[in-house]
Amino acid sequence: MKKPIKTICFLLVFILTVGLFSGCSGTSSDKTSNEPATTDEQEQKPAEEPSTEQPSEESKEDESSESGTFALPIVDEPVTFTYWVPFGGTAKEIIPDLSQNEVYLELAKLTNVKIEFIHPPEGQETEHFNLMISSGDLPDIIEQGERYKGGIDKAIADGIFIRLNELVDKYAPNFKKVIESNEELKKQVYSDSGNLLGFGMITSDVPGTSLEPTEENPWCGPFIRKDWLDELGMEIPTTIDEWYTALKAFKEQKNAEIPMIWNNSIGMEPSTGAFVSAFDIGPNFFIKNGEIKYGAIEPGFKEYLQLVNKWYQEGLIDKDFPTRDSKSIDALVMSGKVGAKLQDGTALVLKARAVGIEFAGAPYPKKDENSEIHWRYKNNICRANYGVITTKCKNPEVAVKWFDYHYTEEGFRLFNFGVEGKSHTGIDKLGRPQYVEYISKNNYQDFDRYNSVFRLHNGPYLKSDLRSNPRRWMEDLENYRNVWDKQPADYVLPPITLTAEEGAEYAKIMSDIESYRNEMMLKFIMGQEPLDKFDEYVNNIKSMNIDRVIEIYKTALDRYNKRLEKVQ
Amino acid sequence: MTRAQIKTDIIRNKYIYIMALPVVAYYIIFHYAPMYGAIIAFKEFNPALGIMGSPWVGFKHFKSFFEGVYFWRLVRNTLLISVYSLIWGFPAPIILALLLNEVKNKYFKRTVQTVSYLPHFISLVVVCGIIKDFTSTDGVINDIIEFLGGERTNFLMIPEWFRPIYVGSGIWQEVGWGSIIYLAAITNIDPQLYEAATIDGASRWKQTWHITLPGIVPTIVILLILRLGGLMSVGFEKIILLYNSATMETADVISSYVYRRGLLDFDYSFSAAVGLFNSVINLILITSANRLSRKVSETSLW
Repeated sequence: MKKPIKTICFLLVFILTVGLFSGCSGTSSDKTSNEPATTDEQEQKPAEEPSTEQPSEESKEDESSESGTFALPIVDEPVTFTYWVPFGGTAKEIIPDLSQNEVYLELAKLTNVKIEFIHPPEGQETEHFNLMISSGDLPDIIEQGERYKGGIDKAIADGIFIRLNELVDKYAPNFKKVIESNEELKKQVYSDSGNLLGFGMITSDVPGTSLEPTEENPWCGPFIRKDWLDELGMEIPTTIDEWYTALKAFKEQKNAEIPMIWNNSIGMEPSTGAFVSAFDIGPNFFIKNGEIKYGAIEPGFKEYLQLVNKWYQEGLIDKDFPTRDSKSIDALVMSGKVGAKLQDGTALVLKARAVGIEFAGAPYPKKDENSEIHWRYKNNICRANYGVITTKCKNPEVAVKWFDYHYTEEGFRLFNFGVEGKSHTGIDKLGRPQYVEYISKNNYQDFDRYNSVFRLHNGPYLKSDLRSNPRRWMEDLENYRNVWDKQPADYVLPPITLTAEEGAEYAKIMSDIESYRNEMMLKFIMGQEPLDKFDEYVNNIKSMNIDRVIEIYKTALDRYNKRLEKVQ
Repeated sequence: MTRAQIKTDIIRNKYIYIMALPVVAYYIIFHYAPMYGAIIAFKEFNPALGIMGSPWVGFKHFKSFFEGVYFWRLVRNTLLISVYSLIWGFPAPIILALLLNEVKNKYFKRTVQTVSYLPHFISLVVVCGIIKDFTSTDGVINDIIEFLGGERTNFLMIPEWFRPIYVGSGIWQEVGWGSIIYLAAITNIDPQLYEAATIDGASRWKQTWHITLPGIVPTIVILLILRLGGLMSVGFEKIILLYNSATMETADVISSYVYRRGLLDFDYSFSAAVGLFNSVINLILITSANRLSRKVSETSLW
């Protein structure tokens, strides 16, 4: 009896140790399999050392340096900040957290400011953020400060974030120069009460070497199977009728299992509004002739529902759309069962091309030849992502200076292109980096994988997608974006903000209205409720006080338009 | 008891008191102390001001919940899911235990026991993943339906199917685990009773009906009282893993609503109010169930 027990014990210990080793080897092979991670390791040590070796002469005392000349390092003695920011996706397969990102490694070396990252679990960002705020256990810096319920103004009033206006005037001349250079941008980065919202992701979408803040053209829109269209001898559809013919042909002649798929489970595309916008409305709140309207109760929405209901019954739309998640949608698209996807970026084209499928970006569908859409996906010049400093931060002026570096000429190159010599060998005549082989190989197929490893994709810096993202250099892909960009977007609301009280009222009213709308939308589309009931549905939403929300939006828009008066 | 008596009692039984101490401390620290946080149900909670500093708003949150458009639907769904789980789910382990008790082959009995309680150890996320896979349009269940000549449907998209799926999978997962306590109760029944019954010529069925079942009635009653106390609380985890907009009208329960409003919309005070309301109802239910049971069957929790 004794022997078997011994053997079992031995086996258990053996399994455990083997598990231990395999765990280790797993990570180490990860590190050697790709170049950036190994170079990271080599660079890590020097990154920490210079702080003691170079007692830099340009000390921290010479404050408010002129823009352009940035005194480095920012501090003599190393300073460490804790920094909350969501992180995940494919980059996580290569680096465990952003402290291994080449930009931040280099930044630590240059500025002597070390960042300790706090990443929420993927998919639980909202809960993690809210719990962190209510527990009072704050980091020094938070990225995406706009997550605060009630807005950044409230966070400042609540004593969670600090007001940045004065600090920026004093310590961040480069950032100040950027936001002062464009009136539209200035409106976006100041709150209604004149507080600076934070260090946002400001975009610069101009070719060449200019750092001028400009709106980036839309990154997402509808896509359709180009190879099928070619085989059927069809053009890329632009009107609803043309779409119908194409989808019908996909189903009948190409045996497409799912001729058309949404990128979500609610029954429309809230970001692109494809097909919704064909009916002279937007998917959510929009502005028409200076009046705020809610898309889901406009007559145009009934026409939209009639259309998709018909298409759903005819099997042109994914039968199971309410239970889809992004993974299963991806799998379906890549297995060639899908004819059109109503929201994605141009990365889809390259990803599909790799498995022998050709997608083309289609213009947002119009109702007919003579009509026009007025709502589409549109970028703001400042795309939020606000880096804010909390009241727990002991030396906010250092943090502000550190952020200011992000908006300098050198910071621009570092954040957009990565470290010269590691990710790229230089800048060409068009102002684009010449990426090294591991990034550029196979026509930049791995670019997304390394995107958040050697550079920063989203973050508080002056971002030039046009100059750093190789997909934007490919003519066919850029054309799709330009086609979308040329379509009118005059119904799109500017980035207004609500006050805390308005926000609370909005949340109370809208959380009920939205769940009701989503439920009814599914029922209308799937035919569980006849469309005759649309008026009843509109009345129900009205009785849930939608007018009050529209009123809130109206006052918020008025405040937004008067923002610049407050800043002066 | 006078003070002196208490003192001698403590001195005499000091080891028992010391042993009880950690448990008492646990309840005070982790269950009673956090209860003061429930006062945020009557306040407008603001993280910057803290629980104590936030302003009082009285019954505002309760009012807005009771007057909300979804109040009755939430209560109805919670109660129905609970009651169905009770009606179908509560007898299931008892029946399984009685059946297992009649099995004379030791190995067969053990195999069935092990197989039936294994699902209990599977994480809920995995279980829900399995359910989604099985019930999807191209899932196993639809394969069978199509083979038998039926038509494929996605069960998780049909509101009427939500409760059967929820309750059925719950029984599958917990039936074996739940039967353990009844099996233990059955072993406590005096074997002489069975011998006497056999001599009197009672069949197996009669033995089960007149000896085994009455023998475990106290256990059944206690568990039933506990179950009734939780009638208004349906865990949100399984609900939010299985529901979608299409099934909201039967699937949305109080706890999933609290989760959405509290954790996602950051409305802690409102959720605390709803949670408190829920607990009060549960307390009423459990005390009345207990009182009723004491009157009827003389078995009770306290």
